[in-house]
Amino acid sequence: MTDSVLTSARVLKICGLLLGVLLLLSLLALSVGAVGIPADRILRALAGSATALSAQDQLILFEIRLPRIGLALLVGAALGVAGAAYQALLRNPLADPYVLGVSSGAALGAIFSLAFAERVAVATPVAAFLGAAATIAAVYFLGRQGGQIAPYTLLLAGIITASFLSAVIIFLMNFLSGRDLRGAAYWLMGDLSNPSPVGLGWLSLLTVAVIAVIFAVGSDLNLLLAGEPEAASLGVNVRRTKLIVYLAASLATALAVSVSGAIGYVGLLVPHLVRLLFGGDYRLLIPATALTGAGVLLLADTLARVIIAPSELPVGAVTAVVGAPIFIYLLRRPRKGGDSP
Amino acid sequence: MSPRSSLLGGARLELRRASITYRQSGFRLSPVALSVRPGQVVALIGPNASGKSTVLKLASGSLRSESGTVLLDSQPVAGLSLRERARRIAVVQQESPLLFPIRVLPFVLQGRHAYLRGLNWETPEDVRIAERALEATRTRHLAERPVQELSGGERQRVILARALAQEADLLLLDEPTLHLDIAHQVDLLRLVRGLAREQGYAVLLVTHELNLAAEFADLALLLYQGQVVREGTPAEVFERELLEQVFQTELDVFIHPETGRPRVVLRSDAAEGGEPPSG
Repeated sequence: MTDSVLTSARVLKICGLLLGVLLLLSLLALSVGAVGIPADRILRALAGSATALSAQDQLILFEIRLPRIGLALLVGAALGVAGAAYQALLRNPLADPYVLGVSSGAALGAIFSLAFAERVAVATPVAAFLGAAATIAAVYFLGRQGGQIAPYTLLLAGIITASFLSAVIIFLMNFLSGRDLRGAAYWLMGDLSNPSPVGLGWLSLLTVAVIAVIFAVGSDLNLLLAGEPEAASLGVNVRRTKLIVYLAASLATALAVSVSGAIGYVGLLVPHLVRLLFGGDYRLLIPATALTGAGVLLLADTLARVIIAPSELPVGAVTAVVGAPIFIYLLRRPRKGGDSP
Repeated sequence: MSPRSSLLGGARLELRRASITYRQSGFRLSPVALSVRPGQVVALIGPNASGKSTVLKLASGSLRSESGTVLLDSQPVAGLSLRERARRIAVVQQESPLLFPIRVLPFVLQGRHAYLRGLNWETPEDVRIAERALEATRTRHLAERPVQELSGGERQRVILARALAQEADLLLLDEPTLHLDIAHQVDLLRLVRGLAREQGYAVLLVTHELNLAAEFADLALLLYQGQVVREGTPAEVFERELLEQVFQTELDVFIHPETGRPRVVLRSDAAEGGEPPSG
């Protein structure tokens, strides 16, 4: 078969490669930080050596860095996949996981909990998730026409909802004390420094499940990108596919935002990066975007930890500072074949 | 060469008193009866908003008839699942713009979607069928080119190849020659007529190009304001007074001396005189 035909072997090869890179990045992230721990000692400890690490290093490694790395990987994968899915659903290359207001709904929930239940740690992600879920439902009902999702109506409904929720957030921020205000600002920017009060096990199970759902309709998404009438006549259940993709991508976004705030650019840029490297077939794009998104966010979060160590930046600031120039490059880069996108 | 294994494997399309009313615009298509046999090319002609594309959508099953039935080999189209429909009916329609680059071969492989199983990987057999469809449309040499870089004529042939990869019985074409120059229009319709004759496709075609319909169609249906006002061979349908009335333009109809098929031309003073068409 020629190169342009996607095979499962090619998908496995590329994903294996990306997984290898991801493991190396994870080792790097485990090793660097305010306290450096040499990688070879980490490897020996992982291999079962009891003497490779001091008790303090073990604490840093397994109680602090490892959970945070896990969180970065999950959030990065969820954001990348949600962005890729929204780009197909909305037929818009500028779509990112936040364009439909899910993050604003989550932020509103989070700030509600900071304002009225600041002492309960688990209240913030739960309230954020409820806010996101309510927004997903509202935007869905606003964005329907003739009993199914209409991409342009959905996009407009999402943008308007997001802007309305942002106004409510500004209003609510007046009720926050100084400490919570900083928490809210970090939350709006996106931050991975607070360990998730929700178990990583549950989070990974849910994240992998929604990514698997989107992967399963990858072939339908390819045709949806060709146009809805074309997809329908080629045998795609357009209405069902749009609903599945909307719910799964929104859920992925809600999960990510609930535990980390609104980290920008990962969901917008990673799908484009993967398209550029490996092509646009969604059966490859979804798993490759999950792995690349995980790696990109891990790298950004590692930078956020070490740039001004021992202090830290919110990771959202790093992704924005690096992401915006990359976005402009992608936008302006010379293309062969004239002005077609 | 042939994307299908057996010759003349097409199916007969029948619309029996099929009709529909659009709730929003109030447009009503009066009950239409038509039949397309394997190997036959039938053209739907008529002015804008006469209901041509609506008939095509009833035939494809994307609109459901309010009365009567639409049958494919005596089987109601409405009873087919989406996948079954895509294996039996191929539609070439006004293309939505492509958002991201895609090469010709994967584009044509989209026609195999309704045959994919499991995790939806195309088999070598699917690739062979797509390559045969490329050969049948003389686009094999374009297989690795991005669809976005093709010329209008190449692109229409590639879209036709995707429809052939569906290995359907019925081919529905909605203005396939739009935006093509005359050479490419003739080329495409020759190709379509060849597919009907040699591979047994039943072809239903919507077009604004009256002379192409006259030359390439076996039968024509003239629609006007949601009604079929004349049907038959092009010679029977292309009657000067009728066309003038329906298109509200002063026309002349000649018979081509070699092909014996009618030709429609503007009457010489139509450009200056004549009332503008209403509606």
